[in-house]
Amino acid sequence: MAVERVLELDMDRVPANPRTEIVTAFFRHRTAMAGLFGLIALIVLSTLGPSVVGHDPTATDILAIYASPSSSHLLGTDQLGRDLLTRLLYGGRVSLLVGLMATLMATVIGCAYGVFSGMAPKWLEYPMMQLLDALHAIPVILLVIVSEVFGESSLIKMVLVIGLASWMGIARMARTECRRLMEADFVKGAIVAGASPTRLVFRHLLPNMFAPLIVVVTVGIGQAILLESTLSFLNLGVPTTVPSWGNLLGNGMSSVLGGAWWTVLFPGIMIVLTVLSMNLVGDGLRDLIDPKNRSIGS
Amino acid sequence: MGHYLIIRMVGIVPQLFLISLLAFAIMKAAPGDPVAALVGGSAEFMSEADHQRVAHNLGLDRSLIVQYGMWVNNVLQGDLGRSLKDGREIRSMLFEGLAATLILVGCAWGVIALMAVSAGYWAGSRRRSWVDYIVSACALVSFATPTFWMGLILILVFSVELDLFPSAGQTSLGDASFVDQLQHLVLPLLTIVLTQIGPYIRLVRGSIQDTLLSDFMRAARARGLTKSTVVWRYLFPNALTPCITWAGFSFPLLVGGTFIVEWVFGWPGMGRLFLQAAMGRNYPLLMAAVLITGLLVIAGNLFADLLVAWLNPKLRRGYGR
Repeated sequence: MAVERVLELDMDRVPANPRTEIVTAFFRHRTAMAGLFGLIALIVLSTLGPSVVGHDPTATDILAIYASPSSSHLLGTDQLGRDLLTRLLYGGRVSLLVGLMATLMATVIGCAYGVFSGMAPKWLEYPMMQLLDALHAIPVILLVIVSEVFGESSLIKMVLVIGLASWMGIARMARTECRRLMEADFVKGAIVAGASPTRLVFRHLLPNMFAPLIVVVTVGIGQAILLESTLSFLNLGVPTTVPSWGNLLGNGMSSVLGGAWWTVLFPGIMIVLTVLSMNLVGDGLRDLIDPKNRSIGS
Repeated sequence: MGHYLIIRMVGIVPQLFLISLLAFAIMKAAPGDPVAALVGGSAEFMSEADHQRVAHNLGLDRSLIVQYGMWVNNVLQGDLGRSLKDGREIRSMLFEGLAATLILVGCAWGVIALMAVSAGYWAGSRRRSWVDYIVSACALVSFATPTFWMGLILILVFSVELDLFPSAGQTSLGDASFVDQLQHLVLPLLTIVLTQIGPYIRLVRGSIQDTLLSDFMRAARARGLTKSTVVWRYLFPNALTPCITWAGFSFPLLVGGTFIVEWVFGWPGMGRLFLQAAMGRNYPLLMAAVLITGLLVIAGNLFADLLVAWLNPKLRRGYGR
């Protein structure tokens, strides 16, 4: 795909390496770089930050309940007098980790389902697509809440639930790509040459859908983080003892009505910045892969 | 169009079946004792015989297929069972909730459509201008903002600090005038619109941009048609069709967002009902809520598809599909 595009743009110049071309173009893409920079900053902050700040994320201080931002607590404290900045940085670890792991899982399931239904005979393909459509008719948040209600909440369960509820979009894309690639000459050639289905999938299909896949996955991570925060806000997500961004907002309602704006404002800003960075990177990648597709909502 | 309509309707049947199956299966796979949930705190003092009697009355001792059959039969007759918590009829609870939700979703769809088309047209027809950049940036931020957080911030600003709008409920106690209802609608509606509109704006903007470059647009302008004719007869029908398809496709997102908004603002709709049911392990109510939500989404998809078919002359005149 990259090769085609480069050739289209400049017929005379033979690209040294299509991958280098893509990487160079990505680094030239301003908003994508802003997103990447934001992500790196967030990752550095949440991995190194907690040790720099020097507060204990679980240490309570009854003398400083709902303390407004000051020099001792830069972002103020919450309803138990815990330092918000420290909890925010710790929360970043949890939110990023959940988003990443859940999307990884969704990607594996989605690709498997999508490629399988793309290659399956017609009688099997039809019910598989119908299942996908039917699943799509139920809002993800509904699926996730229903599954979260039952059993003890834990980080691993959270990842499983979000992963299991958000693979449908990836499956749809993988299927479309797979159907397209199955028509391509090189795949037909491989089939004629006697390539096994396994070889077909791992050597020819998956590597060639990597580009559109990475776009969907980047946006998916952002959506998974949003989902995690929503669930934790509803007290249905990550155990309340673990500080995630959603959990910090968990009793946002009472904080807001009590006027403690800092407990609500800062975790939310972190979520917005993270998801925004993810989407910027995703948009940038989409631009590189298909310049025509530039402004379509995901 | 009739032909298309029939094909579209037939496609719904397996969807309905799967959704009903899913609604049923999710609840049945769930742990927890519905009998205990019905009886409440005194469940541990029940004798074994009493326990079995209650389970039998609820039909919980039959095989799963029979239970599913019983449930579908009841649903088709309009009987969604009774809430495990308070014994109220679920149908009437859901109808009240559905009405409140539809007000919210309907208004949100209208406002989003209006705003997305105007903002998208504004930005799309001024490619790479500062308007374009600002609108696109707003759309990006909107897409990245959690619904519940936007709700909290709006409450903080407009209810707590400025005291302009109420923060909860659909009406004030003892005052159900139109103005009062409108005041209660403002913040929930604003929350949904601000957090859901992003993708719509981007889609409209991109579609307008692409359509403006097409040959038939140039031809229309070359023929000397007035600007309004060009825009309303040529640009919008062609540019907005993919957007409507997408609106139907992303309808579950809108409904999901509405549910969260209902929770934050205490709006007495389906979403709040559903969340209350989920937290109280109220299986029949939860099951019914999933089912009705699925129906709502299918209806929304269908509505969008019909709108597309009506706009698309190929399908309207029956050449398509």
